[in-house]
Amino acid sequence: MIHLQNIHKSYPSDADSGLVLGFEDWRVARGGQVALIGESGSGKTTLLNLLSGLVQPDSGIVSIDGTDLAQLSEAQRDRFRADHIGYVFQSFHLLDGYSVKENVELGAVFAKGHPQPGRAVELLEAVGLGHRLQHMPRQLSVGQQARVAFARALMNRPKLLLADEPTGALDYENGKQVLAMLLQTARESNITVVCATHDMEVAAAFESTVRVEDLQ
Amino acid sequence: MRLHTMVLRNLKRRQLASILTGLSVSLGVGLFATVGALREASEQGFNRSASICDMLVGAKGSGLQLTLNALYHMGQSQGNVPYAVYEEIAATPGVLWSVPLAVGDSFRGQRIVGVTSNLFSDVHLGGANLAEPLAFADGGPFAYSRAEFAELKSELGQAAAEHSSEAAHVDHDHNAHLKSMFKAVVGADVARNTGLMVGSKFTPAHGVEGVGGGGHQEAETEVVGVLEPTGTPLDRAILIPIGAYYVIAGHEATADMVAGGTRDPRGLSAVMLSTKAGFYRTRIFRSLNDRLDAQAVYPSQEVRKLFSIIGQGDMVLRLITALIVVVALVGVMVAIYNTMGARRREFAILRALGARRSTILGLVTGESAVIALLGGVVGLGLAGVLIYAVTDQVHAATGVRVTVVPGAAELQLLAAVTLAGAVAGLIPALSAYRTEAAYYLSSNI
Repeated sequence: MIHLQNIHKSYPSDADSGLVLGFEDWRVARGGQVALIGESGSGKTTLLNLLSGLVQPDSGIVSIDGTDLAQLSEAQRDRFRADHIGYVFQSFHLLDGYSVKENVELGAVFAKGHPQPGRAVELLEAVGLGHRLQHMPRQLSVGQQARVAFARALMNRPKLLLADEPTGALDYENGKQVLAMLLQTARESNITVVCATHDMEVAAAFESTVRVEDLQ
Repeated sequence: MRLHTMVLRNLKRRQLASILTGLSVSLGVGLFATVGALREASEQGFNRSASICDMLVGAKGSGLQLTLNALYHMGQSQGNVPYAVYEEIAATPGVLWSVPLAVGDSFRGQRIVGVTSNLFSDVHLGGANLAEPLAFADGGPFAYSRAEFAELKSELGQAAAEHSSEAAHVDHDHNAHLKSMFKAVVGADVARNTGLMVGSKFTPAHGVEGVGGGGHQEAETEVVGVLEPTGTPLDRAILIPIGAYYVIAGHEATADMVAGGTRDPRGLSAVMLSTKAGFYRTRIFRSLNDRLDAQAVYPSQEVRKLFSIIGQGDMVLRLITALIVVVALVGVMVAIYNTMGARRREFAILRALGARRSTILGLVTGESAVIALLGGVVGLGLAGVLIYAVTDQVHAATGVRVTVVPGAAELQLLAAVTLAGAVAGLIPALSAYRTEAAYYLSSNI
């Protein structure tokens, strides 16, 4: 499913050598659930951005389900991301001015096959928010916002789900619930999950754990 | 959810700013459209009025003054043409019809115009090919033919010769034939403004401004017809048999007058005529202008000249109102640009959800274009209100009824403003376009 080969990524502004990521080979099988751990600045988020196509490597192959993102134009990568990738952010990044239901619908607005009537409601009911469809994000608790973000990430029926510290803003109980929901749904739908976290307890819930520094 | 829904949702999120910037656009568009529509409608109205006849014949002088005075009842007459000119015109091959005009009196500020009654059958508004004869709202025309006018002129000429040392005398009390001439047909506005209706009687006053000169008590005139509105200066005219004008006290010929000159009281203020097109018209026009005692003008050309004269000022006005629109659009651009900083994260999220950079560009330019479009629509509505508010004043001043029906020009203006709005949105849109999603999605931002 995921195959990264001879990856080299640096930012010119980096104070040291500029090198952020550099490794020869990394694979994740379809349906795999991988936790990325590492020190701050080790490149966890950069690796997620490479997998989503938001950032391009200086060199190397980023292959998702047989498609080398590096060979696609930016617009094609955007379309690939819209069709096949779901993303959950640490602070959830729900959009103000859009209702809960609309925020979830945004997850498939740019995907092939849009619109998918009823799917947003189904997902929100599945995460226990079927009664808050027309509420605005600011009217929800942090735990509820996390569930909305999770529903949005599933809206386009992704093959790959990327999560950047998804429980970082949640208390222990909410974090545990959201994580369990995420992993169970991914397992049922055969979705590959890559999750960046600094929380070893969260990492332990995944099938495998990869320390980013070890990839280098 | 579609892109246009997102555009509208974003505008709703910033409702106050969107309304204020939209209002500034609507004010600019409203002024621009009002100035343009008034000018165009006025020109159309003037042209419609100019199409009452093909040619005007009057005293030598300014063709524009002749046109404005004879057709639009504006300004002062520059003098008279000899009656003989009218007779020659009427007998000229190629002349389809002719109507002599005599002006100089008024009633409550409404000008009285002496005409022959063939005006009611021969004049077709919008040109001879358009079947728009003058219609009556009430009553009908008076009867006063060219032959009757010729006969009267002959009688008055003889009377003047017999009373060589004093004014030609007309005995109104003992001349039933002359009394029967004091009939009038009034325009629609005259009827509304003065309350005159069929059966009403009024006394003409000397002078065209309705002030100053005394009344012609001996010439009490009865209204026999009220015209339907024509959208031309005829609406503001009181039409009487031209013979009546010459028998009103004070208009008689005197022995010491200078016959044939522009001050000859036996002359005519002007002659309206319609001719066969082409060779005949050109020949008649040239032969009349070869004379020393008259000139011929094409009213439509004089109106064009008038609008080319005022066109410069009009252009400046249009330019100023266009600048107001531009300033308003710059305001839209600044208002949207100022939100860019706070919206980077929003754009980054949309990019992470698969939005292309071009989609972000479209989203922001769309917002700007929608503000301009809505502002433009409100502006056109505002223009309609403004035009409605001033249409009576324009009509009172010129006799031209300005009507504004939204048409192709308004749609073009709306399209242009929307496009300009989208262009104005390009600067903030390009800023949004350049948003690096990965950077703004970082948890630390």
